[in-house]
Amino acid sequence: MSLLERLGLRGGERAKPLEPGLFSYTSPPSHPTHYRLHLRIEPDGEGLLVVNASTVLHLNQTATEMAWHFIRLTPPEQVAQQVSKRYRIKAQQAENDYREFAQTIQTLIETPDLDPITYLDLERAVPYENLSAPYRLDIALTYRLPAGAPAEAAPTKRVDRELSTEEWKQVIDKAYAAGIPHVTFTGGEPTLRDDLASLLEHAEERGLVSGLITDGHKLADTRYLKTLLDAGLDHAMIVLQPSGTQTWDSLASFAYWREVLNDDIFIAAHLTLTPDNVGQANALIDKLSGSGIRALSLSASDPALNAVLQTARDHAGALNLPLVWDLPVPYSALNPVALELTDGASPAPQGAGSAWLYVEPDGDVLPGQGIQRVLGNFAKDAWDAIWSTASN
Amino acid sequence: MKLRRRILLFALTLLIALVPLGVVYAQTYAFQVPRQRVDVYWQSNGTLTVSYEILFLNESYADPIDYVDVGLPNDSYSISNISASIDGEPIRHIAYSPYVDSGVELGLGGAAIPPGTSGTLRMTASGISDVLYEDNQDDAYASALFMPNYFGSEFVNGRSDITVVFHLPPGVQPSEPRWHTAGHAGFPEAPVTGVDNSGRITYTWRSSSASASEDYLFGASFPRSYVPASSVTTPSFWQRYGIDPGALVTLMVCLCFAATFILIIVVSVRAEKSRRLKYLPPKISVEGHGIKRGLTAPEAAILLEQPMDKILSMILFSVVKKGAAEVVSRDPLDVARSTKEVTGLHEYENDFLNAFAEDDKAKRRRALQQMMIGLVRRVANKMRGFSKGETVTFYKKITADAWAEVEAADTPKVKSAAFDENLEWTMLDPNYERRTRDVFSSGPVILPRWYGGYNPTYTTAGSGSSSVGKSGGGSPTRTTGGASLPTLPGGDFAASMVGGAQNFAGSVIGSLSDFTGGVTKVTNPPPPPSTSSGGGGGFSGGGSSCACACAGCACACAGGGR
Repeated sequence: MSLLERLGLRGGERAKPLEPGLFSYTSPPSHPTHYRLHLRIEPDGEGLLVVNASTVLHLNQTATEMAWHFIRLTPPEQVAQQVSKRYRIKAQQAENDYREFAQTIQTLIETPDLDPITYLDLERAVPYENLSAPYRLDIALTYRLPAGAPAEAAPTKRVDRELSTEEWKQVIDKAYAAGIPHVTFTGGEPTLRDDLASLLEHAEERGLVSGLITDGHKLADTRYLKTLLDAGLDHAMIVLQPSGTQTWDSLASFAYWREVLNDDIFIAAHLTLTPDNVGQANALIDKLSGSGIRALSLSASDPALNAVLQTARDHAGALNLPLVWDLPVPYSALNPVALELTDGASPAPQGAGSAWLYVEPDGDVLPGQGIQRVLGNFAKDAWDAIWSTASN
Repeated sequence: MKLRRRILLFALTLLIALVPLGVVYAQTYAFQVPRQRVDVYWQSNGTLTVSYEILFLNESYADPIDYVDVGLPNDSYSISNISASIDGEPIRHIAYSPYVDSGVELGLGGAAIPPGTSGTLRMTASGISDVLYEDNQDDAYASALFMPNYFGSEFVNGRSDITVVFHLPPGVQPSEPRWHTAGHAGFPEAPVTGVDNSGRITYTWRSSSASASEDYLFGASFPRSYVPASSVTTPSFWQRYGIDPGALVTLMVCLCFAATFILIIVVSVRAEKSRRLKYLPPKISVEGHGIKRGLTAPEAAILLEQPMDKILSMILFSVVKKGAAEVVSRDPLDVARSTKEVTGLHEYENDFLNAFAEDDKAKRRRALQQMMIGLVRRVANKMRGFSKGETVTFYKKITADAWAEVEAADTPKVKSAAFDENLEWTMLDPNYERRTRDVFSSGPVILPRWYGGYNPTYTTAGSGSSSVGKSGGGSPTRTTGGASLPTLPGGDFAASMVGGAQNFAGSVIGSLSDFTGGVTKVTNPPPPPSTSSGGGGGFSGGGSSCACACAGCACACAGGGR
């Protein structure tokens, strides 16, 4: 050891927050509660921990460091040593705090239907504030629709072209580099793209959570569905076509693989309440519940259906079906949560343009589906420029 | 090794004293020293006598050599003990040298050596004291070191024949003295030993190809018994290491400043490098919305962790008010579903009525527990994404407002109407019983329309109730403004209203704690223990996942169901 090192003038390093970046952890398949964690360390040392791409936890700097150790599986004793070395805290206190932190995260992972605000006494953070990057990127791979698709499923913007497979992979890479932990493939009908499995696989390699929003037609083919599952598909939402059979066939296909693979595949369904189907809304929800879906997305085609929407929500609640409400689905703005929040004293927080962005088939970035404000092009423009535009 | 060190040590002191002989530097001096001899006499009194004989050959292009500065070992000498001559001519000007720290200048005056000529300088300095030191290899010996004058290399040219002769003190025996290895180029390793005319042992070093501009150091040791003990200096600690104490003090002061300065830098740098971050306890916050509106009073009661018998009473009042049921017996409590078709019942209200359809008490009790489990789960689902704290505050305010409206009523009619309208919300108040008694303690109470369905012992022709029964006492009716409204004394009414919960506890659900435990063990289970290394490196969970530790009490913590 040199004199400078002995004097502490060389080799030492002032403690500073962890390097920014996106870190992920996927539990081994043998784990009874298969789960994924994404930790995004922000430049200021604070962080976001996303549990199973659904529960977003905001962490202060200390908690971020503990989360970093958590996903690296550092033993608590070592965590205590390292934390006490970097922070003005005794090792014992650091260990106690870490164990409590880890227990909270573990509880959230293993008891997913636990409301953390109510039952873990976590503080509430106002949604979508001061984000350094979105939580999710909704990628409309194509605006093509299968023959016979209902008119309301048609996108409002016609694009000149679709990005190539390689370009989409670059989009995924750019999303990863920006710290976006979650991509959802939508459309149009994304299963019309032959490279869907390849893109899912690429997202999986990057450690991103991937989802799919589809009419379910092609997923009825169990072999095709298996291809997507093998490529790393984490969750899917079937947009219910009450008049057709594809929804139920695709749900049956999921049920088949759920049983064969003994894997609790996360599958949700979306139901748009329209004047034509309000009379059978509860019956449809019952049928969906019986098909094994894990969550339900509800929206209404007309604000006049709000009362029915609330009733449908209550019915889903009685069936213990959690609501999913922020995915790009038809009439997504008219969902029960948004309606209830709008009914309150303060306006509903807007996630479009902050918590999620929407990429059109040609790479143009919109704040959200159907919001015709181009923020840039994900394939051509620098991420910082896109995000800056979105934030202003 | 030791010898080398000793030489080096004394060389340090002598170097200070034996500075080069110099000349007046304003002149252009250039000369040769073809020969130089110095006889060094180590006297028996411990002093030194030095006798130089130096032959100068002044270069033809140089200025005359008019001054010669001669260095002496130290300042312990007297000018009066110095004599000099140039080519036999006595030198009159002998003074302290302005150029040499310890030495004298010899002014040649008219005997200056012209360019291109030579001259022989002789100088003898005697009585130089403090020149002996204790030998550091043998403290019985005195060490004598001497460095002859040398000249600035910019003035002197050519090679020199230099002879240095040490005359050891009288009496020193040939076997006693030791010479010090000089190791100078051109000089022999060992001096030539001899005896001078006075019988004194001599060491002679000679080199015919030496340089008059180099500093040569020579040394010898002899028993210190041949000189006075006082003449041999035992080097102080500082001298031993060749350090001037005065200079050392100055040096130390400087070093202290420097050390302090460096220390500050080091400490600052280390502190900067090792600065630890401020620790704040780990804080997790989850994105969620604020107040969850739209809960029914029994649902809010779940959130506010009200006792389960009270929640059951609230549901009872709710179904009775809606006309969906009536109490057919208060003790034991029994409820019958109305034959009328009533719409808009909540699922838990239907479950409640279904439970009372059971005749078997145990089955009824289990059915009520299942109803409560469902209610708790429903609240949990509804609360997902909303703030519990803000919602609790919101419903507490509703409760407070409800009571305020009832208590502000200034007529029995208004008061009864307000109470009727806000009944379930007033029940959320933990002090519901006391406040009910306080509000209705005086005066008659105009009974709500549904009261007959709640109290089977009460009957009034004008109540509109389908129940028929006896009065519980007091005035069954009261005429107000021509209309006949059913009334009860306030105290009776209050007792009747607060008795509902006790009836549940006593006759329907049995032990409140057992009933509650049966619910919370399902709704509020401990989280499953971790079974993998995932998450905190083998961290295992444990304990209750519910913030409400009420499994043993009577509240209804709505823990996450599985």
